[in-house]
Amino acid sequence: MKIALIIANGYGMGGTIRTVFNIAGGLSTRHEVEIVSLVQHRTTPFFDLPEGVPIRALAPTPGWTDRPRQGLIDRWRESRPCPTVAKTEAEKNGAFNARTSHELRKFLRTTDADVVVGTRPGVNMLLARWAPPRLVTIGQEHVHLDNHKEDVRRAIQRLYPRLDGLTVLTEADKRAYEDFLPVSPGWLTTMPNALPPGEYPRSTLDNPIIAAAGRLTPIKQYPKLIDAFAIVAREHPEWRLRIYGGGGKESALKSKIAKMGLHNQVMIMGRTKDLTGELAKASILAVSSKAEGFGMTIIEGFAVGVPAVSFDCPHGPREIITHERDGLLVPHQDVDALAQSLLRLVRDREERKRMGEEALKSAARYDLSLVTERWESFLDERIAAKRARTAA
Amino acid sequence: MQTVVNRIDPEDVLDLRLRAADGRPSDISRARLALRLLGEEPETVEVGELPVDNGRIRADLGGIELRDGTWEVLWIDPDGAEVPVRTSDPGFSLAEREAYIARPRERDLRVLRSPDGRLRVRAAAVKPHAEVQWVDVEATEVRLAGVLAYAALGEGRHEARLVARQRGLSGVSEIPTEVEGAAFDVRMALEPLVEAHDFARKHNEWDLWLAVPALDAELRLASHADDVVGKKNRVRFPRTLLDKGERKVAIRPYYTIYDGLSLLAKDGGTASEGDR
Repeated sequence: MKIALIIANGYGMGGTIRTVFNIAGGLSTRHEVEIVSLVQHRTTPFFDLPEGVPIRALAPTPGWTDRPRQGLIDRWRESRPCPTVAKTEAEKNGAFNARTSHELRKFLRTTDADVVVGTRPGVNMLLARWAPPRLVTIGQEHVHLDNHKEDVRRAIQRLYPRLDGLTVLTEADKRAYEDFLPVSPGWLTTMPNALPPGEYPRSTLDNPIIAAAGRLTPIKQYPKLIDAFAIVAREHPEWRLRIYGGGGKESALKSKIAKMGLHNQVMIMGRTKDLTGELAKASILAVSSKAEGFGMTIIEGFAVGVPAVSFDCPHGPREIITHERDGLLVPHQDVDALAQSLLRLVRDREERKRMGEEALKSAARYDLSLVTERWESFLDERIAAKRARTAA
Repeated sequence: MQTVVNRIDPEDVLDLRLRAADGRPSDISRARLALRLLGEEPETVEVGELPVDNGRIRADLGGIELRDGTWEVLWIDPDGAEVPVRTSDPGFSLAEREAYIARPRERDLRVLRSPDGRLRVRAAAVKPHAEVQWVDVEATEVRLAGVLAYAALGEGRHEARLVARQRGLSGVSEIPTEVEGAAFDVRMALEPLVEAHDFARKHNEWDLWLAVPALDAELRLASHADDVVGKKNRVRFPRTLLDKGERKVAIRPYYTIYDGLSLLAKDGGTASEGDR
C-alpha cells in the first residue's frame, strides 16, 4: 500500500520526528512510504531520512532566511490562522496557519496514497476535517490526553471520531481515550515507539555509573534524583551520576550539585548524539520523572542491557519495566525509596547482571520489525473496516 | 568480524574477544589486523599476523608508532580485503583507565566505539600530570586529592609542593606536601591568594601544579583519565568568600578548556554584599 506520514515539521530535531522517521523506515520495506512536512525551515532534515523514503514540504516557514521568494497570496495566507486547528495547538507548534492548511487540503485531494497518518493533534484535526472519503485516515497521539489544553481536548472530541483509526503510546493513554471518545472495536490501539534498527553496544555493568537522560526540565525532577543519589553516594562514594540532556534548568542543577557537595560525583553531561553508546558505559538507568509519556530512554537503556530504576509515575515506565525482572519500580515521588532501590543494584552486581539480561529480552519487544508488523496489521484491519462500512 | 570485548591493557596490548558474524564464537586460528588513521591524512599501519586463541587476540601495540589521532581497527581477510572491526563493547572501564594511567608512558591509547559500532583506538602523546580525583571547597582552604598519571615514581613517600601561580601576574603560593605511592592529598590555604588578589583585574586565575623533585618536574593538576572531555561546562565547584580588608574575594575551583584544574578569584563585593 502507499502510506503518507504527515508531520508538522519533518526538518526539525524533536523526538516525535525521530520516531516518525523510524517507523517510516520500517514500513518502507514492504510499502511505498512518503513523509509530508507541513513546513520546511532548512534545506535538508536534521535527522537522516530512512533509505528510500522521500520527504515533501508543503510550505517554507516565514522565518527561514534562505526561503525562496513567496507570492502575495501565500504570504497573506500564512499570516492567517487555521480555524480547524485548536488555538493552543497552533500556538504550541508554528506549522499551523491558513497556508499550510490550504496546501494540505490540496495534497489530500490529489495524493494517490491509500493511507494518511497524522502525527500530532493539529495534523490529526486537519485530516479528520479535510481528507476525502477515499483516504484511510489514522491519527497518532504522542502525549497523554491529560496533557492537552481544554480547547485541544474539545477539538479532539469533535474531530477525532471522523478518523478511521487512532494510535496511542501506552495502555494508560488507550484507557483515557476510550473514556473520552466513542470508540468502536479496533478503532483505537496502542503503538509503542520502536527502537531504531542497528547494532547496539552492550554494558558490562561494571562501571560505577548511574545514568539518567532527558531534557533538563522540571518534569524530569532531576533535583529529586540528585537527592536520592546523595544517599547512594554516602554509602558508595565511588559511584557517579551522569545526567544526559540539555536546556532549561542546567545552571540551577549545577548550583544544587555544588551546594550539596556532590560536584565530584554528579556531572551534567549535556546532549549527546550517541545516547545508547553513553548508556552502555553505565550500569543503572535512573528515572525520576513526574510523568513519562512513553519512556524511550528506558527502552534505549534496555537495548544496551542496563536495568532501570524508576518512579512508578504515569504513564510509560510501568508498562515498560517489569518490576524485579528488568528493573525496579519505586513508589511515585518517594525519594528515599528511589535511593534504596538504586542502592540495591549498586550493592549487588549479580542482580544487575540478571536484570540486565532480562532488559535485553524486554528491548526486543520494541524491535522495529515487530512494531512495523503491528502497524501493518492495524492498517490492514482499518482499511478492511472502512471498505465494509462503505459497502454497507 | 565483530568483537564482544575490546580493551587496551596497561601493557598497551589490544585485547580482543571475537565473535563471528553469525554470533557464534569465532573458530579462526590466525588473524591479520591493521590500523587506519582517520582524518585528512589517512595512513595505514599493519599490526601483523597474530594467533587467535579460542577467539581471543592479543595485539601488542606498544612497539608500534602511531601518530596522534583516532585509528580505525581493520581486519584483513585472506584475500587482502580490509574490513572495519565492529564491536558491541563500549570499551570504557573507569577501573581499567585508573590502572592504565598509573604506569609511566609517553603515549595514551584508549579504545572507542563509534556510534555506528566500529572499533577505534585513540592515540595521544602525553606528559605526566596530577590527575584530580577529589576536590573539596571549605571556608578558607581547598582540598585536592588524586594520583600521578603516566609518571615513573617509585614506591614510598616523596616530598612534593603544591604550587599555585597567578596567571598573567607574579603571584606564587607554595604548600609543602607528600606523594605516597602515586597518591596526593593536599589542603591548600586560600589566604595567600587573597593577599595577592588584584581587584583591578576582574578575574584572578591561579593555575595549579604539583612539583615533585624526585621527578624533577611540575605536574599540572588536571582531569584526563575518564572519558569526559570538556569538564569546564559540566562541573561547577562550590565557591567560598574570604575577607580582604573591607572587601571580599570569591574563590572557586574550575576546569579550564583543556580540563586543567585552576582556581578563579573574583571580587566578592563588600562584607554586606557578599552574603547575597
